[in-house]
Amino acid sequence: MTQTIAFTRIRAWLAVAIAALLLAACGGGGSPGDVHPGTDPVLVAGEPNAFLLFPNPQVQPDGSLQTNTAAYAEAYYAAIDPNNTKDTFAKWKTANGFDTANGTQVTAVFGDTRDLGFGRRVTGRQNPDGTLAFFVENYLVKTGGSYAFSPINLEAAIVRDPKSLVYLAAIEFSPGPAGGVSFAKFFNFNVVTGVREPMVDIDGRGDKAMPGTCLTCHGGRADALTPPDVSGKPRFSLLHNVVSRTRGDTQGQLPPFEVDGFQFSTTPGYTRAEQEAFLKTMNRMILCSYPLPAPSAFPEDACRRPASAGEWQGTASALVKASYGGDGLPNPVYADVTVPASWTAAGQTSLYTTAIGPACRMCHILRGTGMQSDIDFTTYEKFQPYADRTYATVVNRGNMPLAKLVYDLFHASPGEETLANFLAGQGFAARDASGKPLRPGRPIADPGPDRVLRQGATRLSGTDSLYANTYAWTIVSAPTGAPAPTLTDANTAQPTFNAASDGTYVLSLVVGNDSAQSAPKLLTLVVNNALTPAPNAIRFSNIKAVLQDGQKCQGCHSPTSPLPAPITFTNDDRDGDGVAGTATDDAWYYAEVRSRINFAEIAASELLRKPAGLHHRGGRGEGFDTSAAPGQPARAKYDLFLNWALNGAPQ
Amino acid sequence: MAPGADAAVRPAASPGSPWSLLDRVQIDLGYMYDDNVTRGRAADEILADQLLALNVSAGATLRINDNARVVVTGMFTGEKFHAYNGLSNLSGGLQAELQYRQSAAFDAVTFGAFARGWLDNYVSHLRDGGHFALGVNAQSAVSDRIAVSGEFAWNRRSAQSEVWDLDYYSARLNLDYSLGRSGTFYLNGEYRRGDSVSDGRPSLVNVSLAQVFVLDDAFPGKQLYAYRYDARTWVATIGYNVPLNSQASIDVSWRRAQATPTSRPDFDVQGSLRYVDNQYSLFLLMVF
Repeated sequence: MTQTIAFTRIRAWLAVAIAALLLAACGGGGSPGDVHPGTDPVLVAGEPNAFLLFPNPQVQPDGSLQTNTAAYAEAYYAAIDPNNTKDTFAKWKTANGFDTANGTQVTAVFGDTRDLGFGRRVTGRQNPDGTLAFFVENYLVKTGGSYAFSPINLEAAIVRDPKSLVYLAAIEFSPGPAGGVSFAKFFNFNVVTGVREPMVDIDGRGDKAMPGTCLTCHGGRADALTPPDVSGKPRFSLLHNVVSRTRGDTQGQLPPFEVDGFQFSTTPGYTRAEQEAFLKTMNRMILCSYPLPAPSAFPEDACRRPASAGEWQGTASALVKASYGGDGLPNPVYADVTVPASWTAAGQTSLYTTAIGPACRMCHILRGTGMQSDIDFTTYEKFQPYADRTYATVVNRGNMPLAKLVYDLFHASPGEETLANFLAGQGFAARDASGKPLRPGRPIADPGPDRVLRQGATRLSGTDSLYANTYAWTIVSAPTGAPAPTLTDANTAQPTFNAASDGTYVLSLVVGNDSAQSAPKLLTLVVNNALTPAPNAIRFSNIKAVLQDGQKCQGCHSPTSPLPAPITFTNDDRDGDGVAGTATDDAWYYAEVRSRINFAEIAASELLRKPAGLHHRGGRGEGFDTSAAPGQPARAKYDLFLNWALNGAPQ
Repeated sequence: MAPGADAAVRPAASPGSPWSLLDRVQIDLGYMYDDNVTRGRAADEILADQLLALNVSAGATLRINDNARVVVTGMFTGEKFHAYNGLSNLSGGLQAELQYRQSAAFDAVTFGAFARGWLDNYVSHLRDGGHFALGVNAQSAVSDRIAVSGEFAWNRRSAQSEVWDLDYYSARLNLDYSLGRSGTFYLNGEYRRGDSVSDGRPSLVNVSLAQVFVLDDAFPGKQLYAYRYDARTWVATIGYNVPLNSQASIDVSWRRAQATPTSRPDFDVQGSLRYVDNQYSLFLLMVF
């Protein structure tokens, strides 16, 4: 009996022991604060994620984004380096004279706190022939979580930690394959093999194609490729306003180093005081790449070539000069410029210092041409008319600021408030019901632009709506006495509208996602069965006829124009075979015009906005008065262009 | 004969009964000064603290036959840190050990196989969780003054934060030298191979070594990150146990640990990657 009790107690002890052992073996599962080095930033569903991608990514009929394809990058490399003489980092360095005795070569190391967040080791070189080359070792210590700068990245750049070297970029400013004036060329090399690569993942948000990921903030254009020529391969576009007359000259520029935005180490040899001279040397080199709009006797301008009217005017040179004390660059240390007078005079000092300066200036200052420079935002008067696009891109779409880190910093800064104040003052609903600035990510309905169409079935499109996965179309009004119009597939992005009678119809679209519904957005459709040509019959020839109507467009959009435009509408020898106006020339002409349609946001297409007088040196063209109702003669050509674009811009 | 070590005095089971319950109870009460509670590597990462500790253990023995028995020991410990209260903790657990001794000869070796588990509750919740260990040991008297023992164990710890999800092997060797009534001098050496945890600044070196890291809630305001890494750790203890009477003794010891990461970053590192920790303790041991 005693022994039985004893064994029972022992079993109880053992049971407790086993239970304790099992409990002890249970894992905690990890805490939310745990960080695993090497993991990429966490993507948050529903947040904007189109960073480093051109606002017009050249959507193709199959839905692909042409500027973000390897084919686009390959065409670019083929244009700037047709014989692959720079297809590895080693060959590129040799071609640019690195580590040779002649020329000037300096290296600077800093933390890029407000651009891409890397620790950066930049080596710049100016050769005796005036060519420039820079390569940048970008270091990122991946610690998962949110995407942000960390001083550890700077440490990695100082010690050149190979595990943290994530991106090896290079830019050279040199003549094209056939010689001529120098222009900027962008390269991306594999950090391990050194092989030139077409795609790059800069911000942990997936691969993006060269050179677009660079050009987004280097001032260049990313027009669509031109169709295959006799080589069978599509060729990189030829911009008509570049002095080099070379494919691959995207008008991309070398941005200056904004030293005040960098973080420096306290490690001897890498302090700001010790890096300043190197950075000034590089900024002086970069200044040499900027065209000079007016003669200058200052020594730092002696290396600059005269600017042509149709190209970028070296606008960023003013920033470089001002930051080093003005002409002559007298100051050894960089100091950011004061607020430009225009902004102060407009009472927008705060807007400039909190929003434009930190989040917009560096990319925009590299844009614009001598003919049309308002996109550079150097004055308030240039910025203010862009309020609609600012609202669309910053508040609604979330593709500006166009780099993730800058985007995050902007929305965490007072700049968000000051921009909301500005936009509210311009008549835009920039705040929510509680008064907070609106942010991208909420569903926004976009039923497309108001338009004129014929009787019968017309497919509508709400695919430009934002952050939406549900669609609800309704007919709000129809002409009195008209047969009731029909709307099929009204709960899809692309319903079919069918009206049997002329008149004005108003529809409404509400979109939603898993968390919210949008405000309704109205769409006015003017049905006119006498419309000619019918919207689905519009072809490029109809568009071309408008573009080539006398000198209305061709007066400037011609290779012989004294006021050169970025695109020509004349029948040029685009393929360079010696004969102008061939079928190949026409196919390339079509590609260039189609390139100015933004199929990701039709209403933002330059083909529609420019002739409508928006940021167009030529003002508003006849037939492009968008203040008139659809179908009115005053906007007949706009309607023609719009319907062509809405129909996919068939050739 | 360090605090928490198995009591040397083990009353035999009652005649005619294979078991004895609570055949020994040991209570240790002591003070310790730890010059590196963060297990930090660099000077600005090292924090010192002092603590009071209470260990209570109680055991039961099941006699299987003349050569084998099962010893079950319940353990409870509490530590109260002075400056960094996040390290203060209460732990409790059990150990079950099968012991085998071939004969009753003086120098016969006693072999053991054990499983040990316990639960931890820290003020720093990141550390909350449990430990589990499986191991074997052996102990023998070499002479009437000298006793040696050794142990090899596999240890696993799980916690709220993965930083303290640890996996390591340990091998320990102990030498007791009796000075008779004057007390016992002891030496203990232990080698661990596997996961270790240090606290440090968010530096490139630390991140490069870390498998996982977390902002340590035990050192609020210090911006110290605890990180786990693979290491070789040596722990040496030298101590002296002075009997006060048949049931109580005073134990003083110096424990030194140093851990060296098994891998190095791919770049030049200034200084050593090793941490060194010294613990000085004074305990009152009571056996009932």
